[in-house]
Amino acid sequence: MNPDRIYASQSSSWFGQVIQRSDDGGKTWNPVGNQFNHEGTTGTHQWYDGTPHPWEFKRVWHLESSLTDPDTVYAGVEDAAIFRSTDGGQNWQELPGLRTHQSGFQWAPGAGGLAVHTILLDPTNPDRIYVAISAAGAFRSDDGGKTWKPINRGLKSKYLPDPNAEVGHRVHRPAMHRSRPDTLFKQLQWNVMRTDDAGENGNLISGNLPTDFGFPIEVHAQELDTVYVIPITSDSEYYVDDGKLRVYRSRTGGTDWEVLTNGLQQQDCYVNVLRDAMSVDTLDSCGISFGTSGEQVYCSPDGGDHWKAIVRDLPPFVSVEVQTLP
Amino acid sequence: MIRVELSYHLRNLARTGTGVTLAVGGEVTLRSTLDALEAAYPTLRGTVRDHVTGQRRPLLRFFAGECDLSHDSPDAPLPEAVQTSREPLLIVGVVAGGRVTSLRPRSSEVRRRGTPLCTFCDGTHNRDGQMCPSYVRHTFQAMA
Repeated sequence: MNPDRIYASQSSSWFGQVIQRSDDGGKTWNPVGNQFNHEGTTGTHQWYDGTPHPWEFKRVWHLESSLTDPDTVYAGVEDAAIFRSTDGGQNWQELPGLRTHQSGFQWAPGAGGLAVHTILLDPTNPDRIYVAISAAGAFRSDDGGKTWKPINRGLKSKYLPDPNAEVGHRVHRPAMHRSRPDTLFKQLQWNVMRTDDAGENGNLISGNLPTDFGFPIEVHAQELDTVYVIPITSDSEYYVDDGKLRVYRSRTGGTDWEVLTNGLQQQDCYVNVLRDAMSVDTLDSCGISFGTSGEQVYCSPDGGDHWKAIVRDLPPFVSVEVQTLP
Repeated sequence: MIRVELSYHLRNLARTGTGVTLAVGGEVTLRSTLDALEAAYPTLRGTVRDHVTGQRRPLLRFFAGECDLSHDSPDAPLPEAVQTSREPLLIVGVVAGGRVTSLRPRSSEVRRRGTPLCTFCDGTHNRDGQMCPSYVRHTFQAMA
Protein backbone atom coordinates (compact mmCIF):
# COMPACT_ATOMS: atom_id res chain seq x y z
CA MET A 1 0.00 0.00 0.00
CA ASN A 2 0.98 3.65 -0.17
CA PRO A 3 2.96 4.54 2.96
CA ASP A 4 2.76 8.23 2.12
CA ARG A 5 -1.02 8.33 2.40
CA ILE A 6 -2.16 9.20 5.91
CA TYR A 7 -5.58 10.21 7.17
CA ALA A 8 -6.43 12.31 10.21
CA SER A 9 -9.74 13.13 11.83
CA GLN A 10 -10.31 16.51 13.45
CA SER A 11 -13.49 17.35 15.23
CA SER A 12 -14.58 20.14 17.48
CA SER A 13 -17.79 21.53 18.86
CA TRP A 14 -17.13 24.73 16.94
CA PHE A 15 -16.53 23.56 13.40
CA GLY A 16 -17.76 19.98 13.35
CA GLN A 17 -16.00 17.17 11.56
CA VAL A 18 -13.03 17.63 9.27
CA ILE A 19 -11.05 14.84 7.61
CA GLN A 20 -7.63 15.61 6.23
CA ARG A 21 -5.40 13.48 4.03
CA SER A 22 -1.71 13.62 3.35
CA ASP A 23 -0.21 12.04 0.25
CA ASP A 24 3.37 12.88 1.10
CA GLY A 25 3.89 11.16 4.40
CA GLY A 26 2.50 13.98 6.48
CA LYS A 27 4.41 16.93 5.06
CA THR A 28 1.27 18.55 3.69
CA TRP A 29 -2.41 17.96 4.36
CA ASN A 30 -5.61 18.71 2.50
CA PRO A 31 -9.21 18.49 3.68
CA VAL A 32 -11.27 15.76 2.04
CA GLY A 33 -14.92 14.85 2.44
CA ASN A 34 -16.65 15.40 5.76
CA GLN A 35 -20.22 14.48 4.95
CA PHE A 36 -21.41 11.42 6.85
CA ASN A 37 -25.06 10.81 6.07
CA HIS A 38 -26.82 7.77 7.42
CA GLU A 39 -28.44 5.41 4.94
CA GLY A 40 -32.20 5.25 5.28
CA THR A 41 -34.10 6.12 8.39
CA THR A 42 -32.39 6.47 11.72
CA GLY A 43 -33.95 5.00 14.77
CA THR A 44 -32.95 5.39 18.38
CA HIS A 45 -30.40 3.95 20.75
CA GLN A 46 -30.45 4.19 24.50
CA TRP A 47 -29.35 7.35 26.23
CA TYR A 48 -27.39 7.18 29.49
CA ASP A 49 -30.60 6.97 31.48
CA GLY A 50 -32.06 4.23 29.30
CA THR A 51 -34.46 6.47 27.39
CA PRO A 52 -34.55 6.33 23.57
CA HIS A 53 -32.26 8.83 21.89
CA PRO A 54 -32.15 9.62 18.16
CA TRP A 55 -29.17 8.40 16.20
CA GLU A 56 -26.98 11.33 15.11
CA PHE A 57 -23.62 11.78 13.49
CA LYS A 58 -21.25 13.46 15.91
CA ARG A 59 -17.65 12.77 14.97
CA VAL A 60 -15.16 10.29 13.55
CA TRP A 61 -13.24 8.30 16.12
CA HIS A 62 -11.22 5.94 13.96
CA LEU A 63 -9.95 5.74 10.39
CA GLU A 64 -8.69 2.44 9.01
CA SER A 65 -7.19 2.13 5.55
CA SER A 66 -8.00 -0.90 3.44
CA LEU A 67 -5.26 -3.50 3.28
CA THR A 68 -5.78 -4.04 -0.44
CA ASP A 69 -7.12 -0.88 -2.09
CA PRO A 70 -5.24 2.39 -1.60
CA ASP A 71 -8.37 4.49 -2.12
CA THR A 72 -10.57 2.62 0.32
CA VAL A 73 -10.74 3.71 3.93
CA TYR A 74 -13.21 2.96 6.73
CA ALA A 75 -14.41 5.38 9.38
CA GLY A 76 -15.78 4.43 12.76
CA VAL A 77 -18.02 7.19 14.02
CA GLU A 78 -20.10 8.42 16.94
CA ASP A 79 -23.04 7.68 17.19
CA ALA A 80 -21.99 4.13 16.47
CA ALA A 81 -21.84 3.53 12.74
CA ILE A 82 -19.29 2.59 10.12
CA PHE A 83 -18.69 4.41 6.84
CA ARG A 84 -16.53 3.58 3.85
CA SER A 85 -14.90 5.72 1.21
CA THR A 86 -13.60 4.27 -2.03
CA ASP A 87 -12.17 7.51 -3.37
CA GLY A 88 -9.58 8.44 -0.82
CA GLY A 89 -11.96 10.04 1.63
CA GLN A 90 -13.75 12.41 -0.73
CA ASN A 91 -17.12 10.70 -0.37
CA TRP A 92 -18.42 8.48 2.42
CA GLN A 93 -21.13 5.84 2.34
CA GLU A 94 -22.52 4.19 5.41
CA LEU A 95 -22.47 0.41 5.81
CA PRO A 96 -25.85 0.54 7.55
CA GLY A 97 -25.97 -3.07 8.67
CA LEU A 98 -24.06 -2.21 11.82
CA ARG A 99 -26.19 0.71 13.00
CA THR A 100 -29.38 -1.11 12.10
CA HIS A 101 -28.37 -4.32 13.88
CA GLN A 102 -31.35 -5.76 15.72
CA SER A 103 -29.69 -4.99 19.04
CA GLY A 104 -28.94 -1.36 18.12
CA PHE A 105 -31.83 0.10 20.05
CA GLN A 106 -30.25 -1.36 23.20
CA TRP A 107 -26.84 0.22 22.71
CA ALA A 108 -25.93 2.96 25.16
CA PRO A 109 -23.03 5.40 25.21
CA GLY A 110 -19.96 5.06 27.35
CA ALA A 111 -18.57 8.08 29.15
CA GLY A 112 -17.08 9.38 25.90
CA GLY A 113 -20.11 8.66 23.75
CA LEU A 114 -21.56 5.81 21.69
CA ALA A 115 -18.80 5.28 19.17
CA VAL A 116 -17.19 2.79 16.85
CA HIS A 117 -13.73 3.41 18.22
CA THR A 118 -11.79 0.54 16.65
CA ILE A 119 -11.86 -1.17 13.27
CA LEU A 120 -9.70 -4.23 12.56
CA LEU A 121 -9.45 -5.67 9.05
CA ASP A 122 -8.58 -9.33 8.60
CA PRO A 123 -5.48 -9.54 6.36
CA THR A 124 -6.41 -13.06 5.26
CA ASN A 125 -10.08 -12.48 4.52
CA PRO A 126 -11.16 -9.20 2.90
CA ASP A 127 -14.77 -9.85 3.89
CA ARG A 128 -14.03 -10.05 7.60
CA ILE A 129 -14.12 -6.87 9.68
CA TYR A 130 -14.09 -6.50 13.44
CA VAL A 131 -15.32 -3.37 15.22
CA ALA A 132 -15.60 -2.39 18.85
CA ILE A 133 -18.24 -0.01 20.14
CA SER A 134 -18.40 1.78 23.45
CA ALA A 135 -20.54 0.71 25.08
CA ALA A 136 -22.13 -2.05 23.02
CA GLY A 137 -19.22 -4.46 22.64
CA ALA A 138 -17.38 -6.10 19.75
CA PHE A 139 -18.97 -7.10 16.46
CA ARG A 140 -17.80 -9.07 13.43
CA SER A 141 -18.80 -8.96 9.81
CA ASP A 142 -18.02 -11.82 7.43
CA ASP A 143 -19.50 -10.20 4.35
CA GLY A 144 -17.59 -6.97 3.98
CA GLY A 145 -19.72 -4.99 6.40
CA LYS A 146 -23.22 -5.87 5.19
CA THR A 147 -24.23 -7.83 8.29
CA TRP A 148 -22.78 -7.98 11.77
CA LYS A 149 -22.71 -10.34 14.68
CA PRO A 150 -21.97 -9.53 18.33
CA ILE A 151 -18.88 -11.38 19.54
CA ASN A 152 -19.01 -10.85 23.26
CA ARG A 153 -19.51 -14.39 24.50
CA GLY A 154 -17.50 -15.07 27.61
CA LEU A 155 -17.47 -11.40 28.50
CA LYS A 156 -19.05 -10.48 31.79
CA SER A 157 -19.80 -6.88 32.71
CA LYS A 158 -20.66 -6.25 36.31
CA TYR A 159 -23.57 -3.89 36.92
CA LEU A 160 -25.39 -4.98 33.76
CA PRO A 161 -28.78 -6.46 34.62
CA ASP A 162 -27.57 -9.54 32.74
CA PRO A 163 -23.77 -9.64 33.10
CA ASN A 164 -23.58 -12.09 30.19
CA ALA A 165 -25.79 -10.07 27.85
CA GLU A 166 -25.11 -10.23 24.13
CA VAL A 167 -24.49 -6.48 23.92
CA GLY A 168 -23.86 -3.63 26.33
CA HIS A 169 -20.24 -4.39 27.16
CA ARG A 170 -17.33 -2.03 27.35
CA VAL A 171 -14.66 -3.32 25.02
CA HIS A 172 -12.08 -0.59 25.28
CA ARG A 173 -9.77 -1.96 22.63
CA PRO A 174 -9.30 -5.16 20.63
CA ALA A 175 -5.97 -6.12 19.04
CA MET A 176 -4.78 -8.93 16.81
CA HIS A 177 -1.68 -10.16 15.08
CA ARG A 178 -1.86 -9.95 11.31
CA SER A 179 -0.84 -13.56 10.87
CA ARG A 180 -3.43 -14.92 13.33
CA PRO A 181 -6.59 -12.90 12.79
CA ASP A 182 -8.89 -15.36 14.56
CA THR A 183 -7.22 -14.53 17.85
CA LEU A 184 -8.32 -11.28 19.41
CA PHE A 185 -7.05 -9.80 22.63
CA LYS A 186 -9.45 -7.33 24.22
CA GLN A 187 -8.82 -4.78 26.91
CA LEU A 188 -12.19 -4.41 28.56
CA GLN A 189 -13.43 -1.84 30.99
CA TRP A 190 -12.93 -4.51 33.56
CA ASN A 191 -10.42 -7.26 32.73
CA VAL A 192 -8.55 -8.48 29.67
CA MET A 193 -9.96 -11.18 27.44
CA ARG A 194 -8.80 -13.50 24.68
CA THR A 195 -10.68 -15.29 21.93
CA ASP A 196 -9.18 -17.81 19.51
CA ASP A 197 -12.17 -18.41 17.29
CA ALA A 198 -12.90 -14.96 15.89
CA GLY A 199 -14.97 -14.04 18.89
CA GLU A 200 -17.26 -17.04 19.18
CA ASN A 201 -15.92 -17.79 22.65
CA GLY A 202 -13.58 -16.05 25.03
CA ASN A 203 -11.64 -16.36 28.24
CA LEU A 204 -10.50 -13.81 30.77
CA ILE A 205 -6.71 -13.50 30.89
CA SER A 206 -6.24 -10.72 33.43
CA GLY A 207 -4.21 -13.01 35.65
CA ASN A 208 -1.86 -11.05 37.90
CA LEU A 209 -2.49 -7.57 36.48
CA PRO A 210 -2.59 -5.00 39.30
CA THR A 211 -5.96 -3.51 38.30
CA ASP A 212 -8.80 -4.56 36.06
CA PHE A 213 -9.10 -1.28 34.16
CA GLY A 214 -7.23 0.09 31.16
CA PHE A 215 -7.53 1.26 27.59
CA PRO A 216 -4.78 0.22 25.14
CA ILE A 217 -3.67 -3.26 24.19
CA GLU A 218 -1.19 -4.34 21.53
CA VAL A 219 0.33 -7.55 20.17
CA HIS A 220 4.05 -7.94 19.48
CA ALA A 221 4.84 -7.76 15.78
CA GLN A 222 6.81 -11.03 15.71
CA GLU A 223 5.66 -12.99 18.76
CA LEU A 224 2.03 -14.00 18.45
CA ASP A 225 1.49 -14.57 22.16
CA THR A 226 3.26 -11.48 23.45
CA VAL A 227 0.73 -8.86 24.51
CA TYR A 228 1.04 -5.43 26.12
CA VAL A 229 -1.37 -3.49 28.32
CA ILE A 230 -1.13 -0.41 30.52
CA PRO A 231 -3.51 -0.78 33.46
CA ILE A 232 -4.79 2.33 35.19
CA THR A 233 -6.22 2.68 38.64
CA SER A 234 -9.98 2.35 38.22
CA ASP A 235 -13.02 3.37 36.23
CA SER A 236 -13.10 6.69 38.04
CA GLU A 237 -9.37 7.29 38.49
CA TYR A 238 -7.90 7.65 35.02
CA TYR A 239 -4.23 7.50 35.90
CA VAL A 240 -1.67 4.75 36.36
CA ASP A 241 -1.73 2.85 39.60
CA ASP A 242 0.32 4.00 42.58
CA GLY A 243 1.89 6.89 40.67
CA LYS A 244 4.04 4.48 38.64
CA LEU A 245 4.03 4.30 34.86
CA ARG A 246 4.15 0.59 34.15
CA VAL A 247 3.61 -1.45 31.00
CA TYR A 248 2.64 -5.07 31.47
CA ARG A 249 3.76 -7.75 29.03
CA SER A 250 2.57 -11.29 28.75
CA ARG A 251 4.66 -13.71 26.70
CA THR A 252 2.15 -16.48 27.17
CA GLY A 253 -0.89 -14.98 25.54
CA GLY A 254 -2.21 -13.59 28.80
CA THR A 255 -2.73 -14.57 32.44
CA ASP A 256 0.98 -14.34 33.33
CA TRP A 257 2.09 -10.72 33.15
CA GLU A 258 5.50 -9.18 33.82
CA VAL A 259 5.93 -5.54 34.71
CA LEU A 260 8.11 -3.33 32.50
CA THR A 261 9.50 -0.19 34.12
CA ASN A 262 13.01 0.41 32.78
CA GLY A 263 13.05 4.05 31.72
CA LEU A 264 9.48 4.77 32.84
CA GLN A 265 8.71 7.18 35.64
CA GLN A 266 8.18 5.28 38.88
CA GLN A 267 7.02 7.93 41.27
CA ASP A 268 4.53 10.79 41.28
CA CYS A 269 3.28 9.93 37.82
CA TYR A 270 -0.44 10.35 37.25
CA VAL A 271 -0.97 10.02 33.53
CA ASN A 272 -3.34 7.95 31.42
CA VAL A 273 -2.82 6.22 28.08
CA LEU A 274 -5.89 6.21 25.85
CA ARG A 275 -7.07 3.32 23.72
CA ASP A 276 -5.59 4.49 20.43
CA ALA A 277 -2.34 5.76 21.91
CA MET A 278 -0.17 2.64 21.80
CA SER A 279 1.30 1.14 18.67
CA VAL A 280 3.97 -1.35 17.58
CA ASP A 281 6.29 -1.30 14.61
CA THR A 282 7.11 -4.33 12.47
CA LEU A 283 10.85 -4.49 12.96
CA ASP A 284 12.32 -7.77 14.20
CA SER A 285 12.96 -6.33 17.63
CA CYS A 286 9.42 -4.85 17.69
CA GLY A 287 9.48 -1.29 18.84
CA ILE A 288 6.51 -0.22 20.89
CA SER A 289 5.41 3.34 21.56
CA PHE A 290 2.69 4.99 23.58
CA GLY A 291 1.57 8.57 24.22
CA THR A 292 0.24 9.81 27.52
CA SER A 293 -2.20 12.36 28.78
CA GLY A 294 0.90 13.97 30.27
CA GLU A 295 2.16 14.97 26.85
CA GLN A 296 5.01 12.50 26.36
CA VAL A 297 5.59 9.68 23.90
CA TYR A 298 7.60 6.79 25.27
CA CYS A 299 9.27 4.33 22.94
CA SER A 300 10.90 0.99 23.56
CA PRO A 301 13.00 -0.28 20.65
CA ASP A 302 13.28 -3.76 22.14
CA GLY A 303 9.79 -4.98 22.81
CA GLY A 304 9.40 -3.26 26.15
CA ASP A 305 12.67 -4.02 27.95
CA HIS A 306 13.94 -0.44 27.81
CA TRP A 307 11.94 2.77 27.45
CA LYS A 308 12.75 6.37 26.69
CA ALA A 309 10.62 9.49 26.35
CA ILE A 310 11.19 10.48 22.74
CA VAL A 311 8.63 13.29 22.56
CA ARG A 312 7.51 15.67 25.25
CA ASP A 313 5.64 18.92 25.79
CA LEU A 314 2.93 18.31 23.24
CA PRO A 315 -0.79 18.29 23.96
CA PRO A 316 -2.25 15.15 25.56
CA PHE A 317 -2.13 12.21 23.16
CA VAL A 318 -5.29 10.69 21.79
CA SER A 319 -3.63 8.53 19.14
CA VAL A 320 -0.16 7.23 18.38
CA GLU A 321 0.43 5.44 15.09
CA VAL A 322 3.76 3.95 14.09
CA GLN A 323 4.81 3.48 10.49
CA THR A 324 7.67 1.17 9.58
CA LEU A 325 9.31 2.43 6.43
CA PRO A 326 11.47 0.22 4.20
CA MET B 1 -19.47 42.10 -3.38
CA ILE B 2 -19.83 40.85 0.15
CA ARG B 3 -16.97 40.83 2.60
CA VAL B 4 -16.74 37.91 5.00
CA GLU B 5 -14.24 37.55 7.79
CA LEU B 6 -13.45 34.07 8.99
CA SER B 7 -12.13 32.78 12.27
CA TYR B 8 -8.68 31.20 12.45
CA HIS B 9 -9.66 27.58 11.90
CA LEU B 10 -11.98 28.36 9.01
CA ARG B 11 -9.44 30.42 7.12
CA ASN B 12 -6.88 27.68 7.64
CA LEU B 13 -9.23 25.19 6.07
CA ALA B 14 -10.08 27.58 3.27
CA ARG B 15 -6.41 28.48 2.81
CA THR B 16 -7.26 32.12 2.71
CA GLY B 17 -6.58 35.30 4.61
CA THR B 18 -8.77 36.76 7.30
CA GLY B 19 -11.24 38.19 4.85
CA VAL B 20 -12.75 36.93 1.63
CA THR B 21 -14.85 38.76 -0.90
CA LEU B 22 -17.81 37.02 -2.45
CA ALA B 23 -20.15 37.71 -5.31
CA VAL B 24 -23.61 36.83 -4.05
CA GLY B 25 -26.35 36.48 -6.58
CA GLY B 26 -29.91 37.60 -5.90
CA GLU B 27 -31.01 38.77 -2.50
CA VAL B 28 -28.14 38.99 -0.05
CA THR B 29 -29.10 36.88 2.94
CA LEU B 30 -27.19 34.70 5.35
CA ARG B 31 -28.21 31.67 3.32
CA SER B 32 -27.15 33.06 -0.04
CA THR B 33 -23.92 34.40 1.41
CA LEU B 34 -23.05 31.08 3.00
CA ASP B 35 -23.98 29.30 -0.22
CA ALA B 36 -21.53 31.55 -2.07
CA LEU B 37 -18.89 31.01 0.60
CA GLU B 38 -19.17 27.23 0.39
CA ALA B 39 -19.16 27.31 -3.39
CA ALA B 40 -15.96 29.33 -3.40
CA TYR B 41 -14.37 27.33 -0.59
CA PRO B 42 -15.77 23.77 -0.64
CA THR B 43 -13.62 22.71 2.31
CA LEU B 44 -15.84 24.86 4.50
CA ARG B 45 -18.89 22.73 3.77
CA GLY B 46 -20.13 21.21 6.98
CA THR B 47 -18.00 23.43 9.19
CA VAL B 48 -20.29 26.46 9.43
CA ARG B 49 -23.63 24.77 8.78
CA ASP B 50 -24.70 21.20 9.25
CA HIS B 51 -24.57 19.28 5.97
CA VAL B 52 -28.06 17.90 6.29
CA THR B 53 -30.10 20.43 8.22
CA GLY B 54 -28.32 23.55 7.05
CA GLN B 55 -28.44 24.80 10.63
CA ARG B 56 -25.69 27.03 11.99
CA ARG B 57 -23.33 25.06 14.21
CA PRO B 58 -24.29 25.89 17.79
CA LEU B 59 -20.91 27.28 18.75
CA LEU B 60 -20.56 29.56 15.75
CA ARG B 61 -21.96 33.05 15.59
CA PHE B 62 -22.64 35.54 12.84
CA PHE B 63 -21.92 39.18 13.57
CA ALA B 64 -22.03 42.31 11.45
CA GLY B 65 -21.74 45.94 12.32
CA GLU B 66 -21.73 45.26 16.05
CA CYS B 67 -24.93 43.28 15.80
CA ASP B 68 -25.49 39.57 16.34
CA LEU B 69 -27.26 37.98 13.38
CA SER B 70 -26.92 34.42 14.67
CA HIS B 71 -30.58 34.02 15.51
CA ASP B 72 -31.96 35.82 12.50
CA SER B 73 -33.76 33.96 9.77
CA PRO B 74 -31.25 32.69 7.20
CA ASP B 75 -33.48 34.22 4.58
CA ALA B 76 -33.62 37.69 6.10
CA PRO B 77 -31.74 40.31 4.11
CA LEU B 78 -28.34 41.11 5.56
CA PRO B 79 -27.89 44.67 6.81
CA GLU B 80 -27.38 47.30 4.19
CA ALA B 81 -23.88 47.98 5.45
CA VAL B 82 -22.94 44.38 4.65
CA GLN B 83 -24.67 44.45 1.30
CA THR B 84 -22.67 47.52 0.32
CA SER B 85 -19.39 46.09 1.67
CA ARG B 86 -19.16 48.84 4.23
CA GLU B 87 -19.07 46.19 6.93
CA PRO B 88 -17.97 42.54 6.78
CA LEU B 89 -20.02 39.59 7.91
CA LEU B 90 -18.06 37.95 10.73
CA ILE B 91 -18.17 34.17 11.21
CA VAL B 92 -16.63 33.44 14.56
CA GLY B 93 -16.51 30.74 17.17
CA VAL B 94 -18.13 31.56 20.47
CA VAL B 95 -15.82 32.44 23.29
CA ALA B 96 -16.28 29.99 26.09
CA GLY B 97 -16.33 31.25 29.63
CA GLY B 98 -17.77 34.25 31.35
CA ARG B 99 -21.43 34.81 32.01
CA VAL B 100 -23.77 34.51 29.12
CA THR B 101 -26.21 36.70 30.98
CA SER B 102 -23.73 39.55 30.70
CA LEU B 103 -24.70 39.75 27.04
CA ARG B 104 -28.29 40.34 27.96
CA PRO B 105 -28.84 43.92 29.02
CA ARG B 106 -31.57 44.60 31.47
CA SER B 107 -34.08 46.98 30.03
CA SER B 108 -33.34 49.36 32.88
CA GLU B 109 -29.71 49.50 31.73
CA VAL B 110 -30.81 50.32 28.22
CA ARG B 111 -33.06 53.02 29.48
CA ARG B 112 -30.43 54.38 31.79
CA ARG B 113 -27.78 54.55 29.13
CA GLY B 114 -30.27 55.72 26.61
CA THR B 115 -27.74 55.54 23.83
CA PRO B 116 -28.62 54.42 20.32
CA LEU B 117 -26.18 51.57 20.24
CA CYS B 118 -27.00 49.74 17.07
CA THR B 119 -25.73 51.25 13.87
CA PHE B 120 -28.34 49.40 11.87
CA CYS B 121 -31.56 50.28 13.60
CA ASP B 122 -30.11 53.55 14.84
CA GLY B 123 -31.35 52.78 18.28
CA THR B 124 -34.96 52.54 17.23
CA HIS B 125 -35.55 49.67 19.60
CA ASN B 126 -33.85 51.50 22.42
CA ARG B 127 -36.22 54.37 22.39
CA ASP B 128 -38.86 54.06 25.02
CA GLY B 129 -36.77 51.36 26.64
CA GLN B 130 -37.78 48.64 24.19
CA MET B 131 -35.43 45.80 23.42
CA CYS B 132 -34.62 44.64 19.94
CA PRO B 133 -36.44 41.30 19.39
CA SER B 134 -33.08 39.63 18.90
CA TYR B 135 -31.70 40.12 22.37
CA VAL B 136 -28.19 41.01 21.37
CA ARG B 137 -29.05 42.91 18.23
CA HIS B 138 -27.69 45.94 20.00
CA THR B 139 -24.13 45.97 21.12
CA PHE B 140 -23.16 47.32 24.45
CA GLN B 141 -19.89 48.89 23.67
CA ALA B 142 -21.14 52.11 25.10
CA MET B 143 -21.93 50.38 28.35
CA ALA B 144 -18.41 49.10 28.87
